[in-house]
Formats: sequence, C-alpha cells, structure tokens
Amino acid sequence: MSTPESQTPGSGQEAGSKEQGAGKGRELRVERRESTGKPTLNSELSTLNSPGLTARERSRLRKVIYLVAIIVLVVVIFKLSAPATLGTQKAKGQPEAKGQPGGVLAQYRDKHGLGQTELGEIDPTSETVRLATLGMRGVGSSLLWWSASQQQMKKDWTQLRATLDQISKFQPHSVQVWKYQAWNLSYNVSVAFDDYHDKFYWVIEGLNYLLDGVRLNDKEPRLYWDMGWFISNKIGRADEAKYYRRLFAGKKDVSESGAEFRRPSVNGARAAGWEDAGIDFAPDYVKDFRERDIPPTGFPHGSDVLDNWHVGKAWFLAAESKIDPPRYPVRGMADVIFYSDAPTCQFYYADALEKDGRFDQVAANAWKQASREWSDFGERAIDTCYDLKLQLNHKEELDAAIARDVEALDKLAPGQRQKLYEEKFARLTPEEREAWTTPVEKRTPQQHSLMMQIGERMEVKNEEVAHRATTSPRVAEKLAKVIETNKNLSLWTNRERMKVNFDFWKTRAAAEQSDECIAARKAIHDGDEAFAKGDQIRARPYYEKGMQGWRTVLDKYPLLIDDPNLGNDLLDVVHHYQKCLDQDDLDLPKPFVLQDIVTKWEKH
Amino acid sequence: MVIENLQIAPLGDWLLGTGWQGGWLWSRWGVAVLLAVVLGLGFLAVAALRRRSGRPGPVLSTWTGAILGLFSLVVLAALVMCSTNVTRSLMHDYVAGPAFTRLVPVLGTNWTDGSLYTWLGVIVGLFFGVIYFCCWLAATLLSGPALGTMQCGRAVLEIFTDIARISPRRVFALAWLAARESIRRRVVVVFVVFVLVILFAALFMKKDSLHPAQLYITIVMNCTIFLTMLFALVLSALSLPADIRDRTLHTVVTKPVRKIEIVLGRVLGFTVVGTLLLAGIGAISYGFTVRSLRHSHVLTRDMLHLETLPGNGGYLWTGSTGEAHGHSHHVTIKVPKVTGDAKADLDAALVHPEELKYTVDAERDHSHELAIERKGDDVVFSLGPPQGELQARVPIYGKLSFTDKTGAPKDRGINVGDEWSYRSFIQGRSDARATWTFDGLRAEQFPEAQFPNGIPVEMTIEVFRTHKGNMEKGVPGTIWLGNPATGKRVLLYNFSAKKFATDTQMIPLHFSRPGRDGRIEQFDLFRDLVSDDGRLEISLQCLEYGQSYGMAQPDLYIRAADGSFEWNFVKAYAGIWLQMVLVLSLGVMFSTFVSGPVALLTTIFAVIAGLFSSYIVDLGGGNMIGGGPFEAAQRIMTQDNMISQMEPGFKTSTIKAMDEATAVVMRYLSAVLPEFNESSFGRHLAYGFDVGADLLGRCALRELCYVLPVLLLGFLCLKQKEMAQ
Repeated sequence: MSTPESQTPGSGQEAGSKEQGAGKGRELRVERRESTGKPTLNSELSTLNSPGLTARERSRLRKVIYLVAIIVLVVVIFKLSAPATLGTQKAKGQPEAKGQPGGVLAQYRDKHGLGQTELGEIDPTSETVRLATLGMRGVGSSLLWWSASQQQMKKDWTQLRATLDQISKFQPHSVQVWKYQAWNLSYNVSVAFDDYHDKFYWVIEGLNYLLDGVRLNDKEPRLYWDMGWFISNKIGRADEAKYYRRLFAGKKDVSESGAEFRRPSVNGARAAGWEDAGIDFAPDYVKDFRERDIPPTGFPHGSDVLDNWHVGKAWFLAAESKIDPPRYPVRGMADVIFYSDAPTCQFYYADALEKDGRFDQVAANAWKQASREWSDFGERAIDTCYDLKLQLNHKEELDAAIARDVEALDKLAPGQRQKLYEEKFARLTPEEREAWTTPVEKRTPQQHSLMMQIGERMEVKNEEVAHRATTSPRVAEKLAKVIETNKNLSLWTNRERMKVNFDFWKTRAAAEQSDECIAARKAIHDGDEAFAKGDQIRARPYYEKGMQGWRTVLDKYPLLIDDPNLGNDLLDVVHHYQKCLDQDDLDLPKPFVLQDIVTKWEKH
Repeated sequence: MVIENLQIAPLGDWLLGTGWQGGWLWSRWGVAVLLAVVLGLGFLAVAALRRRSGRPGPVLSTWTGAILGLFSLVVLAALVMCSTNVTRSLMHDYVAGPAFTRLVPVLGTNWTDGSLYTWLGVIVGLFFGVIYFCCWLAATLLSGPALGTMQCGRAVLEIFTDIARISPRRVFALAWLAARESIRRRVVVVFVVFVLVILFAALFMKKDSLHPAQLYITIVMNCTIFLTMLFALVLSALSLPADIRDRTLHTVVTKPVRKIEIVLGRVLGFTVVGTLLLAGIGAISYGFTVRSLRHSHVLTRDMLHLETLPGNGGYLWTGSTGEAHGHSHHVTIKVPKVTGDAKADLDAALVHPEELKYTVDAERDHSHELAIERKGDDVVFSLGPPQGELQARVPIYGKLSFTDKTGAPKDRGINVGDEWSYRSFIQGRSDARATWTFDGLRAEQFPEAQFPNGIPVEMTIEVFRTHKGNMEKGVPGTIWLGNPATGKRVLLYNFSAKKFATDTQMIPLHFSRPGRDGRIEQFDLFRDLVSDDGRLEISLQCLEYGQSYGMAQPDLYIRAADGSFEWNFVKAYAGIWLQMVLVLSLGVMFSTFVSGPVALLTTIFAVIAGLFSSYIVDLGGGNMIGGGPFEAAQRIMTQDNMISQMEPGFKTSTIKAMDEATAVVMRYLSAVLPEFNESSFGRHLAYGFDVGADLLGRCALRELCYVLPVLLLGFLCLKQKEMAQ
C-alpha cells in the first residue's frame, strides 16, 4: 500500500490508494522514479492486466495503444497509397527534381495503365459535372442523347452543338460517343445545309469536336484514325471536294458569283487575281482549326500542311504510333487496311495535284513519294487473321521460291507429276473428262458445276509427288511441306493484297511517274479546259494527244485498264472527244485508240 | 431557327370562340349586364353567407343537397348518353344541338370552341357529375337518402360559407408568416447557387457559336427554370407537413383561422418570396447575357483596300475587321469619285469622314455601327456594340395554303421523306406554290416615313435538292404578290433561297413591273394588291427543276415592328413565374393530405408529366411507333426493332389490350395535367420573337384555371384533416 507522501504531484492520483468502487482487494501500485516522481510506461505496461488499474489509467493505456495503431496504419496506408509526383525544376539552372513513383497502388496503376491520367487530359469541368449528377449520370446522359436527337430532327443546330458539348462532359472517356457525334456533325449535319460554306463549317465543327475527344483520350488510336479519315476523305472526296479543298487550303473562293453565297473574308488584298500571292483566304474558323490541328507526331518532312491529304496522312501516322496491343490494338478494321491509309493519302494527294492542273516536277515527285511509301508499306510486317505477320511485298519472292522448290521436287521424282495427272484423269467418268477438256468459255452450266468437284480431284498434290520420289524421299517430303507452306503464305499474302488493291496502286504509282503518263494527263487537262470554255476546235488535238499517250501507258501497264475510276475518266474524255467530232459530223475513228476502255466501261 | 406554331389565335377568339363579337352577351351592354348580375348576386350571396352564424339549418341543407343531387343526376345522365355513338347523335340532334343554336345570338357563332365554356363544362361535369354524385351516393348509402342529402347540402354550404368568410387580413398575416419561414429556411441559397452556376457556365459557353445570343439566353433560362422549380417544389411540398409534424400548425388552427386561409396564405407567401427571388435572378441573367455578348472589333486603315467601281461609281474601301468572339465583319465604305485618282479622292473624302456611307456585313446575327473620326493626320475607326442580336420581333402571320404541281389547291405540300413533317414542300419548275394570306393590313400600319424601303418580310425556307445542281448558287425562286379579292397577281422579284437563315425581303410600297402587254405598270401596294378588307397574298415558287422549297406557316411573316428586348425578357420571366405559382399550388395541395416526401415526389411527378404532356398525348393517341409501354417493354426484352409486326397470338393480343387500357388512362391524364411547356417563353426570347399579349394572357388564364381548382382541392383536403380545433 503506498503512502500519501508518495502521491505524484499534479497527477491527481493518490498513489497506492484504493480505486474507488474498484471492488475488494484491488490496490493500485505505481512504481515511481525517485527523481521525477512520475510513473513510467514500463510500469504501466507491466500493470496492464493488473486488476489494480484505475479507469483513468486504462483510458490512458487505450489511447497509447490507439496512437501506436494509428501510426502503424498511416505508415501502411502511405506505403500503399502515396501519390506519384512529377519532377519539377525549382529554378533556372538548377537540376530538375526527380518525381517520385508513389506507393504500391500508384506504381501498380502506372504499370498497368489503370489511372485516369493514362487515358488523356483530365477536364475539371467534366469531373465536376459528373460528380454533381450524384450518381444519375446515366439518366442525364440518356436525356441529353434524346434531346440531341430531337434537336437534330428539328434542325436546331445551335442547340444541338451545345447539347453535344454537354454529352461530352458526361461521357468524356467513351470513345464511341466522340466517334459517333463527330461523324454526325461532319457528315449528317453538314449535308443538311445548302451553301457549301455552311457545309464546310460543320465539317470543321465535327473535326473540332473530335479534337476535344483526342485531347481527353490521347492514347486511343481510333480517334486519331477518324481525324485522318475526316480530313482526307470527307474533305477530299465529297461532292463538294473542289470547294472544300480550296477553303481548307485558304485559296480564293472558286465561286465567281460570290455575292450569291457569302464571300470569304480577305484582309488587305484585292479579291481578284491575287491567288498566287500567298494570301490566306481561309475563313476564320479554318484558321482557328489549323492552330489545333497538329498531330502529336507532327507532320512528316515535306508535307504541305494546307493540303487535306497531307494533313490526313499525318493523322493516320499518328494513329499508327498509338497502336499498342493488347490495350490499344487495331480495332474495327483489318490491320492491312489500317496501315494502308497513310500511303493511300499520298496517292490521292498526287492525284489531286494533277486535277488542280499541276503537271510539273512537284506532281512527279508526289507520285515517286507515293511509290516509296507504298513500297515501305509492303515491307511492313502486318498482323493478319491467319495469326501470323505477313509482308505484302514478299509475294513475288514466295512465288519464286515455290517455283524453284517445285522444280527441285520434280527432279527428285521425275515424270511422276505427269503420271499422277494421267492416273487421276483416268479415274474420271467420261462426262467429267469431257467437262475437263472443254475450254472454259464453251462449258455448259452442268459442266461448270462438275468442274468444282473435278478440280480438287485432278489436283496433283506435292505430297503425292514426294511419296513417289525415287531419290532422297525425306528431302522430297520436306520440300513438299515447304512448298505447301509457301503456297499458303502466298495465298494469304495475295488475299491481304487484294484487300488494299495493292497491285493496282503499285502499278499506278509506277505508271503515273512516267513522262508519258504526265504528258497524257496534261493534254487531257488542257483539252478539258478548252472544252469547258466551248472551244471544241482547240480541245480536239489535245484529246487526241492525250488518248494516244494513255494508249502507250495502258499498253505498258495493262492492270490500269481494270481501274473503274480511270475507266470512267477516260470514258468522259471519249464522250467529250465525240462531241468535238460532232462539230464536223465525224464518228469515232476505227480502230479507236481506246476501244478496250470503251468496250469495258461503257456498259457500266 | 424554328419555333413551331408561333401563331396563336387572339385571346378573345381563344376564350370565347371565333364569332364572339356577334354575341349579345359580349357587346358593351351585355358585358355591363353580366357584370352587374354576377357582381350583384355574388355580393348578395357573400353578404348572406357572412351574416349567417353557426351551421346551415337542416331545411336549407336538404333543399341545397336535393337540388344539387338532381342536377348531378342530369349531368351524369348526359355523360352516359354521350358514351355511345347512337345516343350521342340523339343527344346532339334533340338536346345539345337546339340548345347550342339558341345560345348563338347570346354568345356568338362558334361559341362551343371557346375555352371558357369548355372549362366551365369540365368543372361542372367533374364536380357535379362525378365528385358530388359519388359523395351523395356514399352519404345516401351510409345515412339514408334524407340524411345523406342533408349532409351533402350542408357540406357544400359550409364550403361556400368558408370561401365567403375569407379574411384578407388573416390571409396576409399567414402569407407573411410563410414568407418569414421561407427566409428562415435560407431560400436565398437558391440565389447564390444560381450565381455560381452562371459563373461556372461562363467558363465553357462558346462565344464563337454561330448564334451566341440563342445559346446564352437558352442556358440562363434553363438554369432559372430548373432552380425556380426546385425551390418551389421543396418549399411548397415540405412546409405544411413539417408544421403538422411539429404541431406548429395546431397553434394556428386553434385560432379563428379558416383552412382555406391557411392554404391561400401559404401559397401567397411563397409566391411573394419566389417573385423576389425570380426578379433577382432575372436581373442577374439579363446583365450576364448582355455583358457576355458585348464585344467590339478592331479596324485600322491598313486592313482596308480600295476597289474601283466601273464608270463613275466611285470606289469601295473594303476589308475585314479584326477577330473577336470567333468572327470578324466585312466592312465596305463608299468613297465618291472626284478627280479619278483613287488615293487623292480617298484623302479628300477623309476630310469629312463622318459623311461617308458604309455597310458592316452582319455576322452571327448582328452587326455594328461604324464611326470614322479624323484625328490629326490619321483616321480612327471605332465599331460600336453589337446590334440586332437581342431583338423582339412583332410578326404578322398569314395563313398558309398550297397549290400542287398541277395547280390544284392542297392543304399541305409534298413530303420529301423528312423525319420531321413540320414543313411540307413544293416542287420546282411547276405550278406548285405556297401562298400566305395576310389579313387586317392597313396602310396606316406602314407609313412611308417609317418604312422607306418597303415592308420587310422575313422568311426561313428549307431547300431540298434531288440533285446537286449548281453548288455555287442557291436554288432560285420567285416571290409573287396577289390580291385575293380581284385575283390580280404580280411577280415581285427572283431570289435565291438561304437555308437555315432568316432571309429578309422588302415589299416596296410603290413599284413598277412590266405587264403582260410589255408596258410598264405602276403599282401601289395598298391600292392595287391589298383588298378592301386588308388581305394580301404572298406566294413563293421554286424555279429549278428537281429541287423543292419547304415551308410551314410561321416561316414567312411580315415584320411590322420590333418590341423591346428588355420587356420581352420580363415577359419570358413572367412565364416562369406562372409555372412557379402552379408548382407552389400543387405542392401545397399535395402536402395537405400526404407526408412531405410523398408530396414532394407527387409534385415532381406532376411537373415531369406536365413537361412531357405532348408525349403523353401521343401515348394516349395510340399512334406511337413501337407501340405503348407494354409493347415497348416486350420489344426491348426481345431486342426487336420498332417497326416490325409482332407475331399474332394470345401474348400479342394481351399486350395490345393492356396498351389500349394505358392509352385510355393517358388520354384522361393528358387532359388533366397542366402543360408546363406552354408557359415557357425561352425559345421566343432566344430566337428574338416578342411574347404577345394574347399568348401571355392565354397562359395566365390557363394557369389560373388550374390554380383555382388546385387551391380548392387543397382546402377541402385540409378541412377533412383532423387537427386540434
């Protein structure tokens, strides 16, 4: 029992005093230091379970335990949840302070790309609006979509545009929302207008909308691809392409009666005759768009940043740079088509140059560039639906290898291929034999249907030849397998080529570079100009020169005859030429220099 | 640029039928007699009821109950007779028809179209035919015919006694109490929230929109409506139940205060607070809109260049201003030719630059005034604030009719496949035309001093091209003027249609045109082309083959005058005020018999149903694509599209029967629900059309017709509620 003298000063406790209401036999023992007279932690802990602890002491003990637990938990939480920080440069000349990777969760987020910052910029307005809906974001979005459809039906374009901005605040990271509404503005809303100036304004509005989506989802390749597609194809291949390209490039409005529709603004320049003086006639909204319309990968060297095809190409290249499977694979189309879009833009750029009347070295260089890019595309190893990568350029190599290996196999089994053929032929029924030997154009429908069965049975497989190899049968079998593998690769490569019309574009690039082709196009262009002015006498010799030039080109590159665009263009030339001849009551000369074109494409 | 159905009938025609001027009752003497009778009888009745003390006696109650009961039987019988086609036609031929015809000299022709009579008929039919009859039947079954009749009669008399004994002093005292309670509940938070929302909205509102005024006005109006409705909902629905729960209402009912005074006082108090709030919000909205749209442009001498006009036409000093708010303006200044030396002539003209004539092209719905001053050797250009952006047109509408491509008259033009059939079309290069017939035009309305260039006609024509045609030009058309009385028609001029833009064409008061014989004819608009009764026809035709013009009735109008935008702003807010009063009344009414949260939800339901009333009407009509709610649910679950037919069978028949039943309910619901959108004038304000007195009057009367029965219902429900007396 402690004595009153040993009471701790200021402690408010009587040392050794019985705890009030504590029950019988419970005494408080407190060990004291002689010097301070204060109880120590050890002493308190040692008496933790002592029946002699007062309520105050138990309370103090609990607080200590809680404090320790809190400290431990804070440390654990900090380790888990510490945010990552960016590096900063505190003062000029001083080394940059390195950023910290953050806690376990932040590092995990960073490693697997799970944070919202991984998606793109964060829009505070959007975050606030979404929080303000108190969980009703879905309902709000549905109402906004309904409003937008009503506003579009009633052609209330101003409100529609405002509603789309609100939708994007509610659904900033939904890629399909950006894709759909941007397309809606550029394609559907624009065509509702009559004046092409207004149409183009809404095409650019769709692009502006898409740019906002790119900013918030800057890793999503689909949005970049859409930018490329809208800029290249919507501007370059619409019915109003002639006007759109000029507005985009800032050239003088081609409309002669600009008073009918609004004239674009001109700053300090005369309205007529100053087209080549470097004046930018682009509307203000186009100039504003150009400031934003810079892809993250920039423009390739030598790009014309005022030409929609080159700008589109830059965006397609940016889309390619964002491909990062498995998180960001090519979606919605075959890989070969995805990667063909950029070089195809170069083709259309070169084509557009010639349509604009450029037949100089610039046009020739453009075609050469197109040819190089197409070749680079052909060298690219592209994922296919056959679960392997293929290179389109390598088909010829594969075919050559197949031919070599077949020859080698035949050397190992001389005469066996023919023998197998004869054996298979012998096994055919008389009707099948007759079908097989009848030329294609003379076969009856029944024979055609028989051929589908016969073809497979008559095929002499390389394994069969290998089985009959007289020397080195194992080598022969290996060769047969290699031939089959290469045949499959060649077949698949050909299928991939057909998806992008690879052979045609390759041929066309080669043909268009040639001096004959450029001269032929120039002659046709001059003839069209004269024809448009009603001077058919002057147009006729141009057309004749042009058609003769095209004959040379088509003889050299016969694949071009199958191109419907070229076919229809030449058919138009023929019709114009016919009208020129009608002046003198003449018919088309026989034989006509482009008779094959006329025969093939007239009926289409 | 579309506000559907802008044209409305004059207030008198809507209220009393189109021929009301012919009715004796609505002549000067008739109105005087009517007022005398109504006020006199009303005064006598109120005086009698106020003088009476205690409950109505049994004899009076029984007589009242019996008369009302018989009347309700008659009304119910009439309603039952109208339920089948055969009985309905009998009713029409032998009862309603003769009765209606006899009232024509008193009320005017077509009096049955008047909304006032419809409302009276509905109230009488609803009250006597349904409500009173049900109560009378219940009382008769419970207490016997005599006692039941007396009880019903007494109840009706007590209601009228209560109404007659309303004390304005007590109502105002309760209103003051309600207002203080609202302020105590910090309703000014709504005000602060609105300011925050507007400031926040300013961050992402696009100033470079094509129609910035429309955008800004629409946003502030929507914010105002949302916050005002929220305030009205929360305050009205939760106030009375809270007082009942806290027993504070009991201290009120123990005083000599009538239940109707409690209801009226509450609604009045909340209305006062709401009005002050709305006024504050309106002032901020106006300031925000005007301030945000205000801008100017920079114009300096080096932005302009000289163009020489042929002959002695002078020069055009032209160029574009600097950009502001995402646009610039094309400026053209006419410089007279004096010496032939362009620079010298320009310098000479700039000695007195204030005398130069100029045009600043309109962009984004506005233009600017240009002031040119000489300061020393330099010339300073300054553009004023935007003009034409905030306006309130007062249009005169005509009646639209069509002629098809063969010249035969039609109600509507052709359909070109547009999803929205608001506009119909006329084909180009044919006899098809659209004709607007204006009525009541007088020369005094268009004095030459005020309309020196002629009468402005504004039109918004839609263009439909079946082929591209000439993409560099608009589709050409012609404007014709015609006298409907004499049949004389004259081609005014050709024009090019501007799609989705308001095109202003001027109709000169005097003009000359070549006649059929080739001689030039002089025309005076009002003498030659406007008939004696003030009618004029304006026709449009499309000239290009394969193209079409589309139009609806409000798409062409005569812009007779402009109202004040500020006053129009106030009227638009008056529309919101009307909506607020209705919501307050509904909230108070519901809160008299259900708890606060239930009253809140019920009021919200009533408001939402009112906002979507047109959709409910469509549902009730049974013509929705995709069917009614049950069929739509079925299609959603089976992922079926909206167009395909459902497979015949028991399930389909059941679903369709349930939808039919729903349609009946929707029909009655749509007839009862208030149409909130009718009082919403935001679109008028945004698109620059004046909210006419007819429209405002109609909406106010319609709201009153809802508020009165709602307040009465609230009073009856509170009267039945047991509280300390």
